[in-house]
Amino acid sequence: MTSLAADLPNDPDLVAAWRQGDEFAATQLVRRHGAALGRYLSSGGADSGDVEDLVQETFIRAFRSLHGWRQDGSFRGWLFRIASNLLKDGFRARRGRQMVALEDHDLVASADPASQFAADETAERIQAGIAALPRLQREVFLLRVEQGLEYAEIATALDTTPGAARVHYHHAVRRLKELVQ
Amino acid sequence: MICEALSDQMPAVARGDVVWDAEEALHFAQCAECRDEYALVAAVLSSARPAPVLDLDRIAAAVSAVGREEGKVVAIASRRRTWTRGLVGLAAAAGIALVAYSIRTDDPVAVAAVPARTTTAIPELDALLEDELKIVLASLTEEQKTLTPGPIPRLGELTEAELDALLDDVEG
Ligand SMILES: [Zn+2]
Repeated sequence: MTSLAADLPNDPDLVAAWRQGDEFAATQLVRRHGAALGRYLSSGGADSGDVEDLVQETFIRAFRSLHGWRQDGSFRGWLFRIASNLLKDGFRARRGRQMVALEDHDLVASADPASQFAADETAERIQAGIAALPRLQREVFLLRVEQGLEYAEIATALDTTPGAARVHYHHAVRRLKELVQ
Repeated sequence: MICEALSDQMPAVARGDVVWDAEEALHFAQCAECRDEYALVAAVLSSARPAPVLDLDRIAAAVSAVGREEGKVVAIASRRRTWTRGLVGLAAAAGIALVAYSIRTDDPVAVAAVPARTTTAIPELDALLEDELKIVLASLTEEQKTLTPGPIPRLGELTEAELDALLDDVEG
């Protein structure tokens, strides 16, 4: 593997600076993780008009409970855990809404209607397959693929172990692979 | 084992964040399992909902504002603790000064000579009358009276508001 990312201050350093009142550190953390949290909240079913407020609330809750973050755990995983709790609160408040339906998704445009149809069909099958997965498998798979979280971060986010997260991911992949063949 | 190593990198490769190295690329070209899994990952990413448009700078500003607001509360609370400690120290010092003052006034010759305001070991207390020193002493709890006084805060280090608060305390 060859990383294309530049060397940047790591999360624990930024969090330590944030705790000391360094507002630029807070800004860097928001810029680093805000978009992924937005995608997660959005694909988790949050109303599009609420996503920005939910991302903001995630960081504010994180700030208020920084003392509760274990330095040995992943800060990003912890942020996702807070976001996940916000989603659950939202679901409870709205009596459980399901994931956003596929027709709401903007699919990649294609000049070829036939291949577009095939792509739509595949995407639809995949989304239906993801929705049909057991909850933990679905959440692990989406955090891994859509958000790019490492297993350790997923473990923090979903309160499980990295090993269990890996097993859930591979179960999900085995089920879904058949849908794209 | 290399299948698992590739699997771990697939989301990042599909996003374009990393590229396979030569060994991984060779395995990928020869392994149908890995290619199937990668096709799934790529399909999920391409059919994923587009990322919501967020004003991250606005979010960062709002988060910083909350931090500033709540950080201020923490700062005030810790300053108040320092201030309380300062008052305790000052009051304890006043107690010592009063004891010294009382010892001196026990001397019958000195009684007549001692003016209403006398010089103490603590310059900030020099301006206080005996009754005022007694008030400060009376404000000490028993526990505080037994404390060894720490470094005595200089009144010059206090803000105007803190000085006012001290005067209110002393003057009732
Ligand atoms: Zn392989």
